[in-house]
Amino acid sequence: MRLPKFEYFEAKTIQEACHTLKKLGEKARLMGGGTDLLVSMKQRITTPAVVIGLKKIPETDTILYDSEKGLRVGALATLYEIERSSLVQRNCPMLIQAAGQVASPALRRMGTIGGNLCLDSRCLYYNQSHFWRKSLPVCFKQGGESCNAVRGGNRCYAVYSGDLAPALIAMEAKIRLSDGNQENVIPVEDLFSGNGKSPLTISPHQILTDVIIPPAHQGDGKFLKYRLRESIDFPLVNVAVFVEKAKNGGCESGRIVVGGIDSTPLRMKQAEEILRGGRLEEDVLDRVTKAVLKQVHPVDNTGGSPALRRRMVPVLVREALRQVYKN
Amino acid sequence: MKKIIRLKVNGEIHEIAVDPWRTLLEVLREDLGFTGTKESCDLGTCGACTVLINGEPMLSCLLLACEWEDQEILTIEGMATGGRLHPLQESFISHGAFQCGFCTPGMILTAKALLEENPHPSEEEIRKAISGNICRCTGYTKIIDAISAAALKK
Amino acid sequence: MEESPLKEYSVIGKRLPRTDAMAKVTGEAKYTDDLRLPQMLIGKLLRSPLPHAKILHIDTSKAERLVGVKGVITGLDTPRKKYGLLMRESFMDRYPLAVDKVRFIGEEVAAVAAVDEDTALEALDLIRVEYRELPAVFHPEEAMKPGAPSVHEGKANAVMSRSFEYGDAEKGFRSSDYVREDKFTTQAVAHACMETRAALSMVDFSGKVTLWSSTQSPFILCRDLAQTLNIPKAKIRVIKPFVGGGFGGKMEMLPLEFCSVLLSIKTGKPVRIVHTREEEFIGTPQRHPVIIQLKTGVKRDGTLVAKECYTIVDTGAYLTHGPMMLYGIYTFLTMLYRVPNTKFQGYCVYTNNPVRGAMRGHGNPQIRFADDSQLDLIAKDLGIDPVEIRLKNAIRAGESTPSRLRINSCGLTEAIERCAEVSNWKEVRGSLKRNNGVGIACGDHISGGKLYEAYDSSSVFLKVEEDGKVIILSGASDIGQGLDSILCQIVAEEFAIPYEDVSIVAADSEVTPQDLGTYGSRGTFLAGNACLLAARDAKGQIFKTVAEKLETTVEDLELKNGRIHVKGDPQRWMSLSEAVVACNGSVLGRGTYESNTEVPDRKGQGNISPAYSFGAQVAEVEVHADTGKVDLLRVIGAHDVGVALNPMHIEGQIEGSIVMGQGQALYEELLIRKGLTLNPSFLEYKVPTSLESPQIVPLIVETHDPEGPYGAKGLGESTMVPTIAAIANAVDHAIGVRVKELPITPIKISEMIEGGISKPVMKKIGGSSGKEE
Repeated sequence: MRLPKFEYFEAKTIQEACHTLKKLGEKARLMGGGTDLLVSMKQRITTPAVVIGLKKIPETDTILYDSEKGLRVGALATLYEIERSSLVQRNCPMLIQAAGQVASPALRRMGTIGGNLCLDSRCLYYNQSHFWRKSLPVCFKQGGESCNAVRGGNRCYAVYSGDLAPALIAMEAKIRLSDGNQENVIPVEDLFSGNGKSPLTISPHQILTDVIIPPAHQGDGKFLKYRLRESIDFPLVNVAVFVEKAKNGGCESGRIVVGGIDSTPLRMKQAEEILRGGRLEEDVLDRVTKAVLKQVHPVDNTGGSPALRRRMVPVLVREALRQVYKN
Repeated sequence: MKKIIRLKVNGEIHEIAVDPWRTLLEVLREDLGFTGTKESCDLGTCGACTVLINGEPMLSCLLLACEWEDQEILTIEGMATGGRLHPLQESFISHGAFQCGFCTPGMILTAKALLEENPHPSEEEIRKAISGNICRCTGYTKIIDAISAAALKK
Repeated sequence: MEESPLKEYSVIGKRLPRTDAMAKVTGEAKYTDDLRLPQMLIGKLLRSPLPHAKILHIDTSKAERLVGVKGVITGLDTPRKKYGLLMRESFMDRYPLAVDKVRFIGEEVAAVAAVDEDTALEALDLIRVEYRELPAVFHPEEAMKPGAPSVHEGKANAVMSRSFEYGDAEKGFRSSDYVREDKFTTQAVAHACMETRAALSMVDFSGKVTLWSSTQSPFILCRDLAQTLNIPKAKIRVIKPFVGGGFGGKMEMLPLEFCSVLLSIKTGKPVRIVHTREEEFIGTPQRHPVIIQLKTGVKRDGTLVAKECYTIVDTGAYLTHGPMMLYGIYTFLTMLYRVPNTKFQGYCVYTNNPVRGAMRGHGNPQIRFADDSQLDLIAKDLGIDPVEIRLKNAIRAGESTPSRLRINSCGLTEAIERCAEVSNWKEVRGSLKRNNGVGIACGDHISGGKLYEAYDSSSVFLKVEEDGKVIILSGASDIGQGLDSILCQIVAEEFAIPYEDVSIVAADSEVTPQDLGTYGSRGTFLAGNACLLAARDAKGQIFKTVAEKLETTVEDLELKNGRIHVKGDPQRWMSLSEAVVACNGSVLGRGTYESNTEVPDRKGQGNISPAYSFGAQVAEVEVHADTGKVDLLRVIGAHDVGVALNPMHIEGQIEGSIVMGQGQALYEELLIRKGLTLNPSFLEYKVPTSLESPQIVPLIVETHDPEGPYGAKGLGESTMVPTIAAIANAVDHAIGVRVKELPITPIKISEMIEGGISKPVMKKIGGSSGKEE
């Protein structure tokens, strides 16, 4: 499939990129690795007049660690660089569990952490070519007035399908956003709007520059991804669990995050409450899984049966907790 | 608007004028005549268009040609040197590790990158390394055998 | 054709590398999309977004005016001649470019040729098509009901039906000790060849057409182009370059080839059209989804007595290979295990789904899934070991079948025994870890047959050159299975010269003699035999000349190591090279092999193929009850190939087939809703990767077929036939869950585990001791 025509602007600094973005507004799109954007463009889902390349901006891919502040990963660090980084291996193994399962080996050399966080939401009826989409009405996500996945649906159900976000949210990571003048740091969780049509809260002239993961202290986590094949595929479901263990071996606090189900990664706050302060016993796990299931309502829009995805959420949550506590 | 770019492919520099929307795959095949790199899905889901850039396997169908100036790009045409096949190519031949041959360029390049990074990979590591290269003919068995054997020979 | 099985061969039976090996590993091999011609235009196809609609009007004027567009065509610009699989009116149901109506989403309605791809795509967007949408039908059972929308006017949607009977099935069921009935369904599957369809045409000033195409049959393509373009075959040259896989999907002409030629005629320039991956999934034939209702009666000891099969085949919008499915399902059902009484009723049904056509095995994998799954259920009900029940009923050489096939060679029993041995079946069946299972299934297939024409033949010319080297000219199509190399091996052996001294020019409809193509696993058998005949013809000519020169008789000569000796007198010889010089510098051998087979009659009887291949596979699985996932750990596949001309090729076919079978069993499904293919990509259509594929143990069984070249038989499809059922049987063994609808997905397994085992419809007669499910 050919790309549509566009102009390419190679940004030399973040300021330059933001300035150009602001000037051009909707006509421009940022490109890191390009593995999401270029596919969308080939399918004519998005056709920006200008693509702003970020690869040449120096120091956007550095990985640093500081025992107080934690791990700082530049937004343009590739998933493969993260997988290979000894700093990340030592200090944030859950990030490697997530990064190492994205797509396929070659795509991980190209895709970036920033790009993966900013993945657009997906739907089997939306992520299709220009020709294919002519067979159905224009859906909400395309600016229309109906949903092709859910008959009678009154909103967009496109699914946020990134793998890194659940892991980062579970680790209480933050991201730094820059508009060229000012920077602000927000929890990764706040990046997501919950809206399938426009899943990210990042404003049109902001760029995600860094990901900051606080030191783990007594914490440990596990990321699990469920998909039909062990490569290439997006998640049908993914689960990230990060727990600060109490001295008695129980759970002092923790986060359980589920992705691949809804338009945003889902924080399982009720389940986290059940876990907090307790020990990991069977009845606790039962209540945790019941609480999780209450929040999980997939629809039939990712090619994997919604019934299957719903079933797998408690299976993965249990398994993730089991593995965390095994260590 | 076309821009003159310098692409270094298999050790040689090529100066060509390309539009920004041209992918590296298109430029290699259409402008430079390196038809060994194959187009199969064009959306980054099958690995047939794999090239090595600075030794790393990447999918040329999702790379903009204009972003990869002055990098070391290796295509299948650059594997054999001085008229001699690379040990991986020889191993693929002797193990019958291809049938229709369409996935083969991408597969061999991916294997090359693997062996440079990990000279003695386990079977599991080989399977993982080629997990983004789809083959419809061989069932992967002889491909894994060929890569294993080439590793042992080194 | 038989050679002594004890003879020591120098080339046959060796693991020789392919003749095209260097071309493929260096990137030199040119596939159709790699070819370039001066002033070549790029063509693109406009497709219908509707599953069923009348075409009211197509306005191409804006597209024609776009700068860079050189030609635009619609159905009205064509001779409006239909074509089909067979040159019979009942089969010829498709226009190569839709004229008045579209019948599936993706059907081609127009084509453009432009100076580059960007312009061609822009031109497509400028073509305005006015449709009037018609009611559509997507389920074959719905399509068969009265009042269903008619896909082809004047024809019933159940466009073809076949009934076959042999013996007395009703009586057979009455005399059975145990009868079981089950329903199975299989899904639409894609060939998903790594190379998409591609066509490059060139028409010269005299009107001579040259087409390079990613095809399995240049000759059939030539036939179809002549038919639809009203151009004599002699003015059309079709050349097959390297092909990146076919698996049956590249057997027939598709609109891209037709449009490429017509646009070339119209513009006076070469035109290349290549399918995108999405077009490949939507616009090329898919494997037929099939509904099978199967009833089987057995004796208490597991001996088969009767089978009754009712099947509905969804052929999609056009017929193509649909009718063959009915005959194929019946024949494949009844040729593997001995069944004295059979009854069959099958329907081939039009729907507004994408077109279905030939795919590896063509009906065989589907019916084998049903039959071998049911056989295991029967074995379970009666307390008989699955290997034993198969050994008891396995067909043997010399036996006939309900379709009156002549089984001249058959290694089925040996294949079953070897699989059982290597898998350690007896021990493993009773003692595996929890959720681990092992299952067996068998398979068979033809080696060619009179499927397309009233003849099934292959012709070869051999040029023996002055330097003692041989060039093969063969119409046969190597699409990756290694046929070119096998033919070189055969000829090298015949001439007692090194393999490297034989080369081949193949699959050019103007230059090479006719071979109908690669389908029905016919390549090695038909073209191989043709090579033998041509070699013997050439040798005959050479020997005649040498006999004269050496003053002896032809019978006193033998050919060894590039020399023609007088037997017993090593001093009297001529080199092959000298002999050719003596024959005026060039010897041309010719051979046509026509298999002595029959076109099946209306009762489905007639020996359709010169030989049949058999095999068995044992699959070992681990089922994860919590996730529903099935890990295929290992497959042992033993296949009767007649004689292994090149064991490496055979292993490759077994291994590739098994993973393709795994895909169909566990992962692959074209998700089609109201005619729209939801997953036309390698992302969403799940071809197994190297992380899914199992360990494979390929085993070769040799039975020395009396008719095959050096005793060899066809292979490429029989190797895929047992796989799906073997996996289904292994899953059942692992966790007691029997899935009868393909693919066996995690949700089906999860839900069945939760809901208890599904119950079949069964009848017991005569106080059987069989177990209740």
